[in-house]
Formats: sequence, C-alpha cells, structure tokens
Amino acid sequence: MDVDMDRLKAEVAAQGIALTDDDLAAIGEILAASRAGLARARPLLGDEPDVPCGFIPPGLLPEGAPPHDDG
Amino acid sequence: MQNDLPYLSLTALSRLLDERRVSPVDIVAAVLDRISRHNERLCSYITVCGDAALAEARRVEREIVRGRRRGPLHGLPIAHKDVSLTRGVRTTAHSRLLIEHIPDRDATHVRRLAEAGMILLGKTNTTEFACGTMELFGVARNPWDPSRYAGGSSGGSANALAAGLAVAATGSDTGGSIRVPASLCGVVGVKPTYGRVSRYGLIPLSWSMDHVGPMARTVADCALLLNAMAGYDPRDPTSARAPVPDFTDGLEGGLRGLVLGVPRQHFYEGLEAEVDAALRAALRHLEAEGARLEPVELPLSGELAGAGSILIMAEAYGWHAQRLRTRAMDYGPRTRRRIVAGACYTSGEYEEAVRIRAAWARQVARAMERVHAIVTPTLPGVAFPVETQLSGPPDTSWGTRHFNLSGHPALTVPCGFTAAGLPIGMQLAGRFFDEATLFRIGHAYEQSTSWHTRRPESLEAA
Repeated sequence: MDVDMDRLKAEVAAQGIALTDDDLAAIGEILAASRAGLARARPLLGDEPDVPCGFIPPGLLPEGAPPHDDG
Repeated sequence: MQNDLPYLSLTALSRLLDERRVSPVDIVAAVLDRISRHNERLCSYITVCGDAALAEARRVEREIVRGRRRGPLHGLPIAHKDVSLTRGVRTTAHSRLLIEHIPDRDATHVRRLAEAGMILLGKTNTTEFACGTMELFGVARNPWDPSRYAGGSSGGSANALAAGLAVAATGSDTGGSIRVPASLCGVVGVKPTYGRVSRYGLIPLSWSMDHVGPMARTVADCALLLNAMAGYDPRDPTSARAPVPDFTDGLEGGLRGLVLGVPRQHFYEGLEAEVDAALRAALRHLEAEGARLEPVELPLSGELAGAGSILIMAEAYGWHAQRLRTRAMDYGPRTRRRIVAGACYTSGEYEEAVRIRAAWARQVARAMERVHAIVTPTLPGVAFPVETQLSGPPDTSWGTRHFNLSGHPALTVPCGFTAAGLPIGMQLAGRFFDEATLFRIGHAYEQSTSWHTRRPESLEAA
C-alpha cells in the first residue's frame, strides 16, 4: 500500500514539525503497514449493523456490570 | 534469611512483618543491596530512592512496633514505572524532554499504594514515553539471559521482580506493556479492566488504551496490590464506579466448574515450538485440575494490528503535538516517528479503526458469554536479543493488544521455560471487572506448578 510522500511531507510541515528525510521515510512505512492492516481487517467486519459511537468504557456498558457468581 | 528476603512473596514478607521476625528496614535494605549489585547491568531502575526508602522504612518500623500496622502491604517496598508521577521524585518517562521533571503530585495509584503503607523504592525503566526505545538510561536486560531484552514498555518493573531487585511493582499497559515484559521475565502481570484503576497521574500514551496494573512474582501478590490500587477516582473521567471486591477472597476456589475458552484463530498459530509445547501442556494441566476447555471463535483476532496502531498513535499525537513542534529532535527516532505517524492518519482511517475495535469487542463479549476466561500464549516466542530490540523488534503486542482494544482484564502467568532457560507466559483474559476469576485460575495453575519458584541463578555467578 503506497504512501503519497509529497502529501506526507506537506502534512508534517502543516503540523509545524521539522523532520529528517529518514524520519519521513520511516513514517511512510508505518502508515503503509497500518493501512494494510486496516485493509486486511475490513473483510472480517461482516455486515452486522453497528452504531458508530467510538469507545465506551466497560463501566458504562450493560455487559460491563460487575460479575455475578456462576462459577 | 536476609539473602532470601528479596525473593519472598509479599504474602510471606507480610507474615514475617506481622510476626516481627523482620522489620521493613531489613526488607528495604536487602532489596537495595541487590539493586546496588545488579542494576548497572540490568538497567532496572532509572531512579533509586535509597536513602528516602530507608528513612521511610525506619518510620514505618516505629509504627509497626507501636502496633499500628495498617494492612498487608504496610512496610513493604514498591517500585513504580517511570511514567507514574511521584511527588518530589524525578519522573522521566525515559525521555530527554522530562529528564529533570520532578512532579508536584502523585499519580492516584502511587498515592493509594503509599496510603496502604508501601515504601517507594524507585522508578523503573520504560521505553521512551512507553512506545519507543531505551537509549538514555540503557536497555532493560533480561535476568534469565542479560544479552536479551526484558521486554517493554514496563521492562524495568519486570526484570527487577525477576532478579529480586523489587518485591512488587506497577506498570502501564497500552498494547501489552505489563504482560509482555512480565512474560519474557517469568513474572506475573495484570492489566485490569479498563476503568478499574485510575490513570490520573500516568503520563499518557493513548487515553482509550492505557491501563495501570500490578506486577509481582505471584498471582496472590498481584491480587493484594490490586486491592489497594483499584477503585473509582473522580480525577479520571474514565474511572469506573464498579465495586471493588477483595481480590484475594476467591484465590483458593480451584478450577472445578470453570469453562476456559481456547481461541480457534490466531493465538495458537505460528508459535515457536517450545512455546507451543508449553501452552499445550498448560491447557492439559488446567483440564486435569478441573477446568473444562471449549473452543471459541475470534475471527478478527489476527487482524487488529492496524487498528491498534492507528488508535494508539493518533491519540498519542494529541498529547505530544506541541512538544513535537518545538523539540522533535529531543525524542528518540522510533518514538518521534511512531507518534508523528499518528498525525497523518485521516479521520476516515481513525473511524475505521474504531469500527474494527467495536466489532472485535463484540466478538470477545460473545465468547465471554460461554466461558469464564480465554487462555492464550502471551507471546508467540521468548525474549530476543537486545540488538533486535534496537534494530527492529518483532510485533510483541501480537497476543495482548486485543484486550486493550476491548478493555477486558488480562493477566500473564509463567507456564514454562525453554531448554535455554527462557520463560514462557500464559495469558488469561476474563470478563469485564472479573479480575477475581482470573486470579483464581492463575493462582490454581501457579500453585499446582513450580515455574514461579525458579530464579535466574546465572545472574549471581556473573
């Protein structure tokens, strides 16, 4: 999965961060690897409908209630 | 007995204190002696609070002599990972940016353990900001083979415990940073349920993935520590209001009646041969002790690295952005590159990572409806050479990031050694807020095996 290095340089510059070319090349590799990871996970998501609500701490989930004794 | 003190469990040390057979000064002095002999080589501690710890031990000794022992942890020393704020004690996160940083407050877990009477021994080594390398203060080395890495990011806490340079420690865990070094060093580490332990005063990496937890040489010791660390904290908005049981209560419950899930996907694929053999033997042992094993389906388990990385680094960038603008070159290259990558993901990619996490959490929740815990290897291999850590380490979050993403509690317990004498760890992941069952399973396994009794003897000969 290719990373557009010109766009990457522009994004880092826009953030006001001064990096070396080695840094940018390494960041390109990190981005490519994680994007490839997303692509591999995508087909496994299935078609189960979900409510896009980000991360909910377990303490706020119904199944996050303290355990009952069934052991 | 003095020489054995640094290797006794908290439970045993506590009993000796109760019986007035040793004093806190004896214990602290014995551990400090080992630190003075081995820390330079193992790089366990970034800061050792020797004089302060001895002074505190003398003060606590007077309290105990007056019959004012507060509880089982009173008078015992603790080491905190150097990402936990400690009032008046340097907290560096192993970073040049914080090299002179002396906090004016304690992290909540530091304060709670101090209120339980524990004595601060020092600040343990960590990778830079819990996500880079260990360059400034040296690489935490593995006591079982010091040419190998102790693991990260809580490597100093893990190797200190394994080498008898600590009797109790804390760590933080964003993708496995408690469980991975604990496994590689042959000790016990616990990542509690998200929200169980306050993160107030923890130098953050990722707000939705960071956890604080105990590390020790036995499961029961971790339970004792979690008793003091857990509980609602209004200063951490993600802290849960769930009641905190006495985690030592059910330790002796045994395995009979428990159903343990064995994942069909990912976790038992591609293991090093000796790890595979150790885990298979551990599963047979759990079954022989009365547990019932049941296969569980976790189809996403092999494809979470991308989502995990995006979530951690995007959130990390939020905390580091301003510092990176002014002091980017004061970060180590690996830390700088990983965190700046977090600035470069699109909102669409972040959202997709969130969806993957939600789907994964649903898979775990479904599995947990049928089993009391899931059993996996903590890592697919054992400790690797320090040079590998510096040049390009393997994916050490291979089996652990899963429960940071979902928030479920997980612990690692030693389950074997390779022929070369390197520890192997078994991970137990449980239902939300049910750390007690993990302690019950881990304790039953540990106490019916002898892995936890081994010591890295070669260290003494060096």
